[in-house]
This record gives sequence, structure tokens and C-alpha cells, in this order.
Amino acid sequence: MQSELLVLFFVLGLILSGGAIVFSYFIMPHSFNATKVEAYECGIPSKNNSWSQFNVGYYLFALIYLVFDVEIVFIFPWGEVLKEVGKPALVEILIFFFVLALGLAYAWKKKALKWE
Amino acid sequence: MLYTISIKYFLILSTLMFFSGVAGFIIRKNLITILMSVELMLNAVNINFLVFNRYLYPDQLQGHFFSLFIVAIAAAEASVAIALIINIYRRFNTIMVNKVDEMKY
Amino acid sequence: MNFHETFFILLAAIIMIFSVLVVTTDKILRAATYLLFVLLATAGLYYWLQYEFMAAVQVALYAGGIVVLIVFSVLLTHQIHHKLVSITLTRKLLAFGIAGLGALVSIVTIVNYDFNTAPAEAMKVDVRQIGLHLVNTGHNGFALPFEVVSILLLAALIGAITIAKKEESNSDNI
Repeated sequence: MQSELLVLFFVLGLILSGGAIVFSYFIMPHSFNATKVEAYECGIPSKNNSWSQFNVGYYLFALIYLVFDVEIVFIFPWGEVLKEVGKPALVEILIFFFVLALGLAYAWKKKALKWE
Repeated sequence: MLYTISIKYFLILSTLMFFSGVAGFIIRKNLITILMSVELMLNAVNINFLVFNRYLYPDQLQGHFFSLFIVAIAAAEASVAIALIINIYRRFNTIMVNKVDEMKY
Repeated sequence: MNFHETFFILLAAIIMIFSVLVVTTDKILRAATYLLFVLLATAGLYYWLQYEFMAAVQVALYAGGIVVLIVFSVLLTHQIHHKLVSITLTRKLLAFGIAGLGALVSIVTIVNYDFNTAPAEAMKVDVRQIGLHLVNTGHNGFALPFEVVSILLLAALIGAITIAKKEESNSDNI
């Protein structure tokens, strides 16, 4: 069965990557001082912790990514049958693209694609 | 090998998932965690559609397509909900539902 | 108990444990991670049902898209020292009582209902079959919802940008 292979692959990947981490943990020399955990050895000392407010621009990019992610999900089966079905499939996908391109144009015009 | 597990186990599993989403909807006061509970419920419904399709009408694809479109709709719903949450956070500086109780503006 | 049943039991256990943890943990980023686990185990369940395309969609859209969006929203609206308000015990008991009651009613119904699972000739669900249904405008075709989904996505994109984009006038926080 194929599922056995899938699970075997998963377990093997887990063992290989996890084993490397565990193995290196055992053979590495252990020493600790406070400068080691800082981001830079020289330069500006770090001030507060890394959990600060993020820019809203990240959300806008994630949003556009998600919309085109959905688009890809629908294009995939469409591409599989394009040759077989021919013209109707092409017309349908052109409408689909056009509507989503309107969204991209709107995002562009609203400067959602611009990093501030 | 496909039908070795009875359909009832799948339905019980999705029921438990759905109602843990309902419990989260009641317990939580934070808007983002409420959104997570809604995602749990949507996911449970999705499982139901696919299982009914596979066990009761395996010669058709209606349930499969329903869940395909539900996933797309869930993406749209989550994006709009999170935009609203960000906007609420900007105005009230909190996203606890019991503090966001005025709709003046 | 053969391999397939063990696989199903494993997935079901992951789903049940983590979906309870999603609603009870008191750190919000952990809740998001547990939600990710639930969604991935659900993808495994779809694979078990031999809907491979649906499993891929689940991983790509739910686990890869929606959870990323949720994590971003956590980062945009929270500081790590803000712990979630701990829930009072009565509220917890009330919520789980109501949910348990609902679950009990529907589980009793499910167990007593006689499902007619005499399987018809199973259809091979590959990507080609899905594509043929997706572009078909006739009987059993899903061309219209396919087009309407694009309009829905357009509306969601425009709405979310309009709501979330910061106005030029007040640019003090986020």
C-alpha cells in the first residue's frame, strides 16, 4: 500500500532530522554566558524583547497571498483538463482571472503593495 | 480497506470537534481565539461533507465540491474577520469582546 | 486491527486532543499552533478517505494560508506579556456542559440512525475528474460557483484592504 510508504517516509524524516539535533546536543560543549544569547556580538546592544508590534503591511501581504493561494487551488484542476475541454474552459478561466486582476489592481491603487 | 471504519466513528469525531469549537466560542473572550473556534467548527462541517460523499454517494462529487468551496469561503471569511479585528484593535486598543461594547463611531 | 484502522485511530486521537487544547490553552500563540495540528490531522483524514486533492487543498489553504493569517493577526494585536484572561471555573463548566449536552444529543442520534452504506460503484477521484466537473456547465457541473468564488474573493480582498489600511490622518499606532 502507498499509505505505508507515506508513513514510513514521515517517520524516517522525523528520525533523521530529530536524530541530528539530539546527537549534536550530546556531543557539543556546554558553556553559557549572557553575551551569547544576544543578536549581535558587537554594535547596538539589544534593548527590549523581540515581541513587539508588527507593521500592518505584513497583514496586507498575507491577505493578497491568501487570495492568490485560493486561485491556485482552482487553477490546478483546470489546467489538467484544458486540452480536453478546450474553449469553454478557457473562457471560464479568463473571467476568473479578470475578476481577480481587478482585486490586484485595487490593491495596487490603494498602495497596499507598497512598503512604508 | 476504504470502508473498514464505520461512518459513525467519523461522524462522532466531527461532532466532538464541532462542539469543542462551540465550547471555545462560549469560553473565550479574545476575538482571535473566537475566530479560531469558528475555524474548528467549519473544519468539522467539512469533514462531514467529505465523509457523506465517500460513504453514501461515492459515485458523485457533490460533497467534495461543497467542501472545496467551503475552504475558499473560509479563507475569505478569515481575511475579512482579521481586518475587522485589526481595525477594532486600532480604535479601542483591546480585542476583548467584553470591552468592545460600544458602537458609536 | 490492521494498519488502516490504527492510522485512523491515531488521527482521531490527535484531532480530539488538540481541538480541546485549542479552546482551553491560555497562551494565544499556542492555541494557533494546536489549531495547525488539528488542521494537518484533518488533511490526513482526507488522505485516509482517498481524497488526495482535498488533502492537498487543506494543507495549502488552511494550514498554509489561514493559520499564517491568524498568526499575523496575533502578532499585530498582542504583546507576549499580555496573557489571556484566565477563565473562571463556572464559565468553563457552563461552556463544556452546554457543548457536552449538544454533543451527547447528536452522538445518540448518529448511533441510532441507520445509515444506508451499501456503496455504489466508487468513482475514482483524481485531479482530472475534479477539473472536468469544475469547468462543466451542464449537469453535475460547478462552473457557476467557480466563477462566483472569484467575485467573493474580490469582495473579500477589497473589503479587507479598505478596513485594515490605515488612514493617512492618524498614523500613530500600528
